[in-house]
Amino acid sequence: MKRSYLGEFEEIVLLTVAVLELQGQAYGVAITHEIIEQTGRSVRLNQIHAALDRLEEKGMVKSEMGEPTAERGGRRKRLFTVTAYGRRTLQEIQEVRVSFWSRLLNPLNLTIIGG
Amino acid sequence: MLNTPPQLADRLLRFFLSDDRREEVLGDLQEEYRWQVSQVGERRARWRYWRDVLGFIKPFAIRRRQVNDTQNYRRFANHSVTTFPNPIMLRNYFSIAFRQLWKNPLFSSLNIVGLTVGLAVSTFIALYVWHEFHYDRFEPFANRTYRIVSASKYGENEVSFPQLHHSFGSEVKRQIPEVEELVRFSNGFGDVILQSDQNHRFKETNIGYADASIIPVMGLKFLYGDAKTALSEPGRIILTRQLAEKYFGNQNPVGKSLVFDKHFPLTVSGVLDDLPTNSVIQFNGLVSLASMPKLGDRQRGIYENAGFLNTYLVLRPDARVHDIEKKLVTVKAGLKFIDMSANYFLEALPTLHLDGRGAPGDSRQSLYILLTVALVILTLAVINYISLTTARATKRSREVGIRKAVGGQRSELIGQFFLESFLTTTLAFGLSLALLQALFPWANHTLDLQMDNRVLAQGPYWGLMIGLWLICSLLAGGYPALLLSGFRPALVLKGSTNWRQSGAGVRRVFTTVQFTASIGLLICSLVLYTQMRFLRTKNLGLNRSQVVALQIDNEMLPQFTGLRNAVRQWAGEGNVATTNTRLFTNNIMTMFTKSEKTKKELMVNAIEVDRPFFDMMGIQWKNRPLGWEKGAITRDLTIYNQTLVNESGIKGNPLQQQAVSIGRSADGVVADFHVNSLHGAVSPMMLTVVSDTSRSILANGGYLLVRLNPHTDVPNALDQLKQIYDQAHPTVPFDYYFLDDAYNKLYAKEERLMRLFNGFTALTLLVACLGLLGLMTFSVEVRTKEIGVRKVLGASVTGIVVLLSKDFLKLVLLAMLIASPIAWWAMNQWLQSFAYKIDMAWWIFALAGGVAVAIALLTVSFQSIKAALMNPVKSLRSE
Repeated sequence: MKRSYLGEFEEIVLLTVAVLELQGQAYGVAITHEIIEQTGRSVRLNQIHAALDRLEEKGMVKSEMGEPTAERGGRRKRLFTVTAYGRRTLQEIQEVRVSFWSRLLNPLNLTIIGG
Repeated sequence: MLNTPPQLADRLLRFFLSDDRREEVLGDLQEEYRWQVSQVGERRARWRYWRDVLGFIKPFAIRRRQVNDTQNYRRFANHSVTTFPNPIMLRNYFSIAFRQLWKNPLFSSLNIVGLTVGLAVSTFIALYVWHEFHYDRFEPFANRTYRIVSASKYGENEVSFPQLHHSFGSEVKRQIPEVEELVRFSNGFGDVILQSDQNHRFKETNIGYADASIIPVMGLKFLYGDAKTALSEPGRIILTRQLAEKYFGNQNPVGKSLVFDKHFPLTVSGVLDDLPTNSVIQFNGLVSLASMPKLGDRQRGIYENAGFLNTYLVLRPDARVHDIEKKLVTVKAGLKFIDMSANYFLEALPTLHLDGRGAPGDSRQSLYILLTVALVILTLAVINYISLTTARATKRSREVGIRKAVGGQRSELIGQFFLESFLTTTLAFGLSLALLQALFPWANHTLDLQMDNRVLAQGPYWGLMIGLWLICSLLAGGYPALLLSGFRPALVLKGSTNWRQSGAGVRRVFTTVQFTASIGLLICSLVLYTQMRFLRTKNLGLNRSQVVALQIDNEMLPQFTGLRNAVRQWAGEGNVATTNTRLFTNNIMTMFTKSEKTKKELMVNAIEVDRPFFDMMGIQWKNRPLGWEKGAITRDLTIYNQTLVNESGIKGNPLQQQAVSIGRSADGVVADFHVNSLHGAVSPMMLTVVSDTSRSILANGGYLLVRLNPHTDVPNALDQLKQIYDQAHPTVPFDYYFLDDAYNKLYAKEERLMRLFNGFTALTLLVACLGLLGLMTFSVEVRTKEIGVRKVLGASVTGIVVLLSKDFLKLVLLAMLIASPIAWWAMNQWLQSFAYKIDMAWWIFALAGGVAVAIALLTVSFQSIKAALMNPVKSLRSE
């Protein structure tokens, strides 16, 4: 099935948005911190913004301005939510991976060989 | 202030970040900053903040958000989404621009014509200057090729001779190991007759001599023949393409025979492509130097006895010029014809044309002057465009107002006006390109420049054109764009009049500058013209009008007496004279000597003439020789001119005094007369009067001077003279020149300068008038209603014309005041190069001012009278 291509980093950002939007906290800084915490990568703010920009262009997320807060100098957040298309894309990626994993008889061996 | 992030970083971010991202990005950055402060402290947080800000300098952040999801449409309520290169708006700009051009044909053509002319002329000048500055850079060893110059002292004067005896060059090559290659080159001595067959026998100039090494060193390009052997043996000649076609048509002439100077057959061994025009090495044909002694007595004499060869050396890359110059002094020992006191210098090949000792000292300066003129013309043209466009701003102010009111950004308006100026300049650029291509050969010819079409095919030319085009577009578009886009929509839409003032001051300055330039140039032209007229009409001490100088070859000695008698019979006894000198050229024999009385070094011109010369040329006697009236003279007489008498310090009756060290005392003294240009004063001169039977006068060829009757039909007379000449069984074809022409040719450079300045003056005046016409048209348009009211209240037509013209005339008068002293100073400098010059009278300035005022008035009146005659009912009714 054809779908628009999603890079590995974009996929992680998209997943993070999906997780954080449940708490209404899917915006730049929060996403950055979450990814750093979960993956241990050193991620910078501008990279997240660029990725979100690309995702929005592809129509995987949409966004709207939130309420201003004091810690942001009275500025508003841009809050992202995953679109239906984005969700479907995530699911498809997941399905493709699961189907490959299920065909491996002994995943642990692979790790050893791969290591 | 503890928790504010770095302000400067914020400002930077605001500068480049797209508007619609500002809030979220700044917010995120600040939140992050706070968090970092709590984690790692303020100092490191500030560092991180900077790093993050710099991280945002990415295309995505500078660009506006591109979202094609229609659900998000409402987000755009906060900001505009148009981007400047928006295709729809672009199309609108184009159509508006074309409509503007089309609707105002007068303005458009004034604009475009002005720019076209300005661009074409300044590019032409720039090309010429570029050509002059790039002499001799193309030769394969140009950076280590040098010419030897010998410099000797004659009293106060150091005289440099680039021409050296042939043995000097060969000794240098033999004795100095650093000399890699030697090229000796001469471009010939006067005319040479070449003949390929009966029908192809012509007199040629610039048939030179050179070593075979000239071919690789000067990078000569062959069309036919073998470059390696073309000059390697005696008896060979190579021709330029032009000369080869003249004698042999389009066929390959290699191996064919060409008779040199009537008796000496040479073999054509090669044909060269057209020589580059930017080289000091110029010739039409080249004979191998080794064959020169075998080409008759005259050539052998020169070869053996004269210094005539430009000697070029290619030095090894590691050689030091200064050391070689020292070694050259030691080489001279033991050679003939070398001045033992001389010093030697090496001049690099690429510097010869402008900075060589033989080059006129002011060539660089005049190039800079030309470049300045080019810049002035270009500036005037651009100024013209700017002032016309801003003047029309009123017409466009409503458009600007509307555009702004419906949401046009200032940057968009700036873009629009730049686009318009870009279109106009592109149009002008295209036209000037065509103009230049079409007029290039003509201009070269008229101005006597040594350039050809090949220059137009070169990269620098195109680079220059494109550079000029871009610069013009930017300069011409810049001011109008900034001015027009700055209009306040509320004011212009209300019809407030403050826009009338916009840029008026600047326009006034522009007009003044334009007229200053044109009046200045006008004064220069007038001074040039008066000086040239003065030179032409000044009494030279001899009467040169209607005198034909008939060239007599030295081989014609046996026939000479008969020929002279025949000419005397035809023209009348008193109208024929003989001399050995080509009068009014720079080839006058000069002796260096010392006065015994004053111990002064003198350069004395030596001329041989016959007895009728003095009466025929109308030369005044100071002291007639004894027995002059008796008629034919029996021995050679020596005549001094007045300057020689003065310079050598002879007092009292010169005829009874001892001579200067030349050894011959004076038999008579004549009043000074000029045989050269009036750049210099009369030089000391010694004339030898020889009897009719003397042969010495023809030793190197001579001239029969014939004064034609003032009312003769000149072509007819020349035909008759040719017949007489042909009956004498001449050895060379009939050849003559007019003294008048030769004298005028001495001022070829000044003549050219005058023609250039006339052209420039006409151009700047044209451009200035175009500008003035545009401004006047505009000013009348703006004041239509005012004029109507004035007329209704009883103003006269004259009154209104004066009212409208007054402002502009003031500017012209101011321009006159500025231009006069500058032009006076410049022309005073120029006049210093003449020993005989005019005084710059007040009337020159008055005339220039008068002409400028008249032209300005004429231009202005065109519009002002039209406006003054208009029916006020019409102008007042239209609302």
